[in-house]
Amino acid sequence: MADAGGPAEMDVRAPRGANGRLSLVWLVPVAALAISLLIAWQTYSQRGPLVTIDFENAAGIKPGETELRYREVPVGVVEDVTFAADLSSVRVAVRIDKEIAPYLDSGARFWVVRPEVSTRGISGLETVLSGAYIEGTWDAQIEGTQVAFRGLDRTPFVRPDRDGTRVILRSADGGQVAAGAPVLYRGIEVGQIESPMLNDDGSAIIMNAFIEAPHDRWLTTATRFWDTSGFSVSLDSAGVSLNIESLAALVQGGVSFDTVIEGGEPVAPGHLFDIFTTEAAARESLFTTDIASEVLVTAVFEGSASGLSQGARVIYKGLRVGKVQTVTASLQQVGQDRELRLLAVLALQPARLGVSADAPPEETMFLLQDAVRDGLRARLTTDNILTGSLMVEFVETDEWPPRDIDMLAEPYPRLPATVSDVSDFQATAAGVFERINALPVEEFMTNAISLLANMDRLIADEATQEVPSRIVALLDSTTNLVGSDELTAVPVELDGLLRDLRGVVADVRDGGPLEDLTASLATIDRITRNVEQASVALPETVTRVNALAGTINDLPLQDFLTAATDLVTGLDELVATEGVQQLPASVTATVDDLRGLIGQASGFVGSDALQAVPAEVQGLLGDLRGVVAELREAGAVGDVASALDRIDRITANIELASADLPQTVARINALAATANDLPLEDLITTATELVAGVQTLVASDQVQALPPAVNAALTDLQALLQGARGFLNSDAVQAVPAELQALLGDLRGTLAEIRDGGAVVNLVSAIERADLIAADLQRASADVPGIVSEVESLAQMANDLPIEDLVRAATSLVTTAEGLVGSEEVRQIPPALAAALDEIRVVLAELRTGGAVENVNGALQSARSAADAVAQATNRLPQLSERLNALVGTIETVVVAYGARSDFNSQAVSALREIRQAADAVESLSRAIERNPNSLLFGR
Amino acid sequence: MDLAGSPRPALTARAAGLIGCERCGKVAPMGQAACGRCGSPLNSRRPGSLQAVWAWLIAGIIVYIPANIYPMLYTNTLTSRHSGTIVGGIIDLIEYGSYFVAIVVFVASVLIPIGKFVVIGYLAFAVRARAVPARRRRAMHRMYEIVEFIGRWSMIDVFVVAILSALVQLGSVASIRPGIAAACFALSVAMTMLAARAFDPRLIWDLEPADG
Repeated sequence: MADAGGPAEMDVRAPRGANGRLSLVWLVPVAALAISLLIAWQTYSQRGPLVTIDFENAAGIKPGETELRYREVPVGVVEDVTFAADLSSVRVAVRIDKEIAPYLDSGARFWVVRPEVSTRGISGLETVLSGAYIEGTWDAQIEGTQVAFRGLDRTPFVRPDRDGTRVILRSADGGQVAAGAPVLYRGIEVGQIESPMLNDDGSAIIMNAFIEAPHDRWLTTATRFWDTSGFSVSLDSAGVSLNIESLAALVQGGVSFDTVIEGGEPVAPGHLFDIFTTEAAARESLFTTDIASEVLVTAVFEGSASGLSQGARVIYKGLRVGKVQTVTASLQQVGQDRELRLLAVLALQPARLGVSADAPPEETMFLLQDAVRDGLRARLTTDNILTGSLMVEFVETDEWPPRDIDMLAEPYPRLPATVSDVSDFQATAAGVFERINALPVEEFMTNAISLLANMDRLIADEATQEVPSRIVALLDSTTNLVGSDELTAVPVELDGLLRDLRGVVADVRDGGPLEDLTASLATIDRITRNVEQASVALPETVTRVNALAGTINDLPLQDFLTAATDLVTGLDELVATEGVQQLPASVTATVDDLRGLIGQASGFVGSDALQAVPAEVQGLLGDLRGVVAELREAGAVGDVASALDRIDRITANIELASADLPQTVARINALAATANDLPLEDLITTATELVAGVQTLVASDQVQALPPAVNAALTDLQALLQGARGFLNSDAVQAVPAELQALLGDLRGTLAEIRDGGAVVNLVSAIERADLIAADLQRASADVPGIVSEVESLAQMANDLPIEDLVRAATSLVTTAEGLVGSEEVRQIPPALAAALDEIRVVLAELRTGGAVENVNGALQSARSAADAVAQATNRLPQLSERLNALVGTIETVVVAYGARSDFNSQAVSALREIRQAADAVESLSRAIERNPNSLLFGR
Repeated sequence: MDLAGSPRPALTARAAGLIGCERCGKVAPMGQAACGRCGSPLNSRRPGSLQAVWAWLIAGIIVYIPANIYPMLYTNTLTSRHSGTIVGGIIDLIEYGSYFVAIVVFVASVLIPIGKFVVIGYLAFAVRARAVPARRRRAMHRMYEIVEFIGRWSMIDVFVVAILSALVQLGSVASIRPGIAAACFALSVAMTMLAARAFDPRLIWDLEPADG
C-alpha cells in the first residue's frame, strides 16, 4: 500500500467527547416547547370569560359558530348550549372577548337575531344565510360585571342603548295598539310602543313607550297621549273628512302625544300616562287631573236639572273653563219659604280663565268678581239636544243689574245664576213623531196609488187622447154656428113665422063647422082609446115610478137634508147678517113703489079714454060678427067641413101612430126602471157633500158680503120703479088711451071696408085651399107612425144609454164639484158675484138715468104710428087676402113637400139618426167621465 | 448488504478497524478524521446521534400537541363558519360518511405521525441496549427504513391545507385559511423527519453480540 504512493496521511484525531456533552440540538425541543407554550399562553391570555345567557329556546344557535355581536361586531362565540337546571330554559355559554367582558353588567341585554317580517319592515335578513346570531347591547360603564344573563325573547323594538325616555302608558283597551306601534308627535314618529301587557289586576293595559332623545323633552306632566289607531271619519259642516295618521298606525295602531298647556314639568323615566281615546278627550282631560289649582264655586239653579251630571262642562264664551264637580240639592231661603234648590259645585280652571295656574285662588276669585259685576251669570243650558244633557254656561250681558259673588256662602263662594235656557228637544221631537205617526199615511198612499193608476189608465186611453182635439173642433163648430148669418137671422124669421102662423090659425078657426068637429072628436075618441090602451101599461109605469120614488125615498136624504139643513143654517146665518136684514126694507120699498105704479096704472085704466075702448071693441066685434055672417053665407063653412074631413083623416093617422104608444110607454117604463136602478144614492151622498161644501162656501166671508150687494141692487131697482112711475105719469103715456081709441076706430073702419070689399070671397077660396092643405097634411100624417117608431127607437136608445155610468160619472163629477166648491177659486166666486151685482146695479142705474123711459115712450109712439100704418094697411086688406091666398098655396106646396119620402121626412129621419149617434157619443163620453170624472174639471 | 439470509454476523467496519465514509463510501482506517476522497468528516459512529434523535423527537411531539388542539382549517362560507381540528375533521368526515377520506386523513395525520414518534423513540431507546438478536436487528433496520421513507408523506395534510387555502379564496362566499395547527403539524412532521435522519442506523450494528 506504501508502493502505491503510500497511504494517505492519517488524520487521526481524538474523538470528540460527544457522548459526554449535551448537543446543541437540544435547543430545538426547547424552542418548540417555548413556541407551544407561547401559543398556549397567548390563547389563554386572549380568551375572555364564559358567560351564560338563558333563552327561551335556542333556535338557530350552534355551538362554536353562533357569534355574539355588539354593534354588529363579533365579540364572542357560543361555546355550549345546555339546559338550565330545571329545563325551563336553554343556557347558552358564550365566550366573550376579554376586552368586552367587563362591560357586561346588569344592564346588558341579549337577544337572538333571526329573520323577522313585520309591518314595520323586514329585519335580520342577513341571518337567513349566515344563521342566527346573538345580539347584545350594554352601556359603556364598567361596573358590576356579571356572567349570567337572561336573554330577551324577541328583538327589542328600541335598542337599549338608544337615548330617550321610557314612559309607561296605560290604556283601558289594548286592542288598538300593537307592539312596535309608533308614537307620534305632531305626526312625526318619535318613539315606539313596546309590548303591551295587562297590569297586575287585569284592569288595564300597560305598555312601555320609548320616546327618542331629541323629542323626549316635550314630555311633561302636561303631556297627554291619545290613541290614533286606525282611521277616523268625521262628518261635519265642512263635509266628510277621513283622517289617517300613518300607514303604520293604521295597521299597528299608534299613539300621539302633545303638550296641551304650558307649565308642565319634565317627567322622569317610567312616568305613567293614560292613553285617551281621542285627542279631544285628551285635551279635555286636563280638567280632570289638575285638581290642585282648581277654584271651586257654587251656583244655585231653579227648576229641574235632570240632565246636569257630575263632570258636565262649564263653558265661558264657548271655551271650557271647568266642570261640574258635584250636583246636590240644597235648602235655600227664598223669601219666607225654604225651597229645595239645585246646588252645583263648579270646579274652574284658572289657566282657562287666563290666570296663571300658580296664582293664588284669590286672583281667580277677584277676576270672577269683576266679571259678575259686569253682568256675568251662570245658567243651565242644553249641551246635547239628543241626550238632553245639560251644561253650565257663563253668560254676560249689560242688562242685568250688577251683583256680587256671595263670598261667604257655604261651601264655596256662590255665583249668581239666571234663568235656564233649556230646550226640551226630546218632548218636542216626541210630539212631532207622534203626529207623524198619527198621519193616515197608509190610506193616503193607497189613494195616491189608485189615483195614479186611474190617471195612468185615463191618460193612456185613446179617447182621452182625442178629447182635446174634439173639444177644439166642437168649439170651432160652435163659434161658426153662433157667428153664422143664419143663426143671427133666426129671431127675425121666427118672428115672421109666428106672425104667419097666427094668421093661419085665425083662418082655420074661422072656417071650422061643428059637424066636422064631431067627426074629428070621434077620431079623437079613438085616439084616446089608443091612449087608454097605452095607459094599460101605465100601472107598471106607475109601479116603476113608485119604485123610483121608493128608491128616492131610500136615498140618504137624511144626510142630504142634514147637509141642507146645515146649509140652511148657514143661509140663516147669512140672512141674519146685517145686509140681509136690510133686504126686506128694500123689498118693501120696492113693493111700495110697485103699488104706487099699479095705482097709477089703475088710474090710467080708469081714464076716460080707456073706458071708451070697450065700446070700440064692442063695435069691432060687431063688425067681426058681420064678417063671419058673410063668411057663412059665402059657403066657407062647407069648405071648412071638407077641411075638417081632412083633419079627421089626419087624426086617423095620428090614431094609427098612437097605436104604437103602448110600446113607447113600455120603453118609457124600462127607462124608468133604469132610472130606478140608477145609483142615485151615491149621487145624493155626493150632493150632500156638495151641499156641505156649498154650506162652507155660504159661510165664507165673501158670501156674507153678498146681501149688501143685493141690497144695493134692490135699491137701484126701486129707483128704477120710481122712474117707471114717473114714466106712467108722463103725458105721453096719458095720451096712449086716446091713441088706442083712435086705433080701434081705425080697425073698425078697416073691418067695414073688409065687409064691403071682396075679402070674404077671397077668404072662402083661401079655405078651399086650406082644405087642399089638409089633404096634403093627411098624406103627410101617414108618415107619423114612422116618426113615432123613430121616437120609440130613440126611447130605446135612451133606455140603452149608460145612464148609470152617467150618473156615476155625475156622482164623481159632483164629488169633483165638491172639491171645486172647496177650492180656493170657488171661494173667490162670491166676490165675483158681488162684483156682478155691482155691475147690474150700475146697469140699472144707467137704465134709470140713460133715458130708458124716454125710449119706451118713443117705442109707444112708434107703435102708434104702426097702428096708423095698420089702419092704412087694412085699407088694402083685399090685397092682403089675395096674398094670404097665395101664402096658403105656398104652404100647400110645402106640405106636399112634407109628404112621404119627401126631403123633410128624410131629413127628420137623418136628424133622428144623428140624435142616436149623439146618444152614442154621450154614452162614450159618460164612459170617459166614469173613468175619470176629474177630466171634466181639469179639461183632460 | 443483505445480511438477512446469513446466520453469521457480518464484519463491521468498526470491527475491522476501519471507518466508512458516509457520503462516498471510501473506507478509511480508524482514526482518520476526514475522508481522503470527499473530505467529509469520518465518524465510525456519529457522535451525539441519539441526543439529536431525542431532541428532534421531543420537539416534534411538543409541536404535535397544539397541532391537534388548535384548528387546522378555518372554513368560512356564506352560511357557516367552521373551524376544524384534525381529529374533529376526521370525525366530521366519518359523520358525513366519507370513510375512505377519513381513513386517509386519519392515517396521514394521526397514525403516521404517532407511529413515527413511537418507532423513533423505540429505535433510540433500543440501541442503548446490548446484544440484540439478529432478527430483531433486522426488524429495526426495516423500521428505520420505513420511517425514513414514509416521513415525507405525512406532509400530505399540510399540502391539502396549503392548496385549499390558496385555491378557496372566494371572498365572502367561501374562504379557507390555515389555522395555527397547520403550522404546528408541519413543524411536527419536519422534526420527526429530522429525528429520523439524526438516527445513525450503524448503531443498530453495534447491537451484535461481540463474538469475535
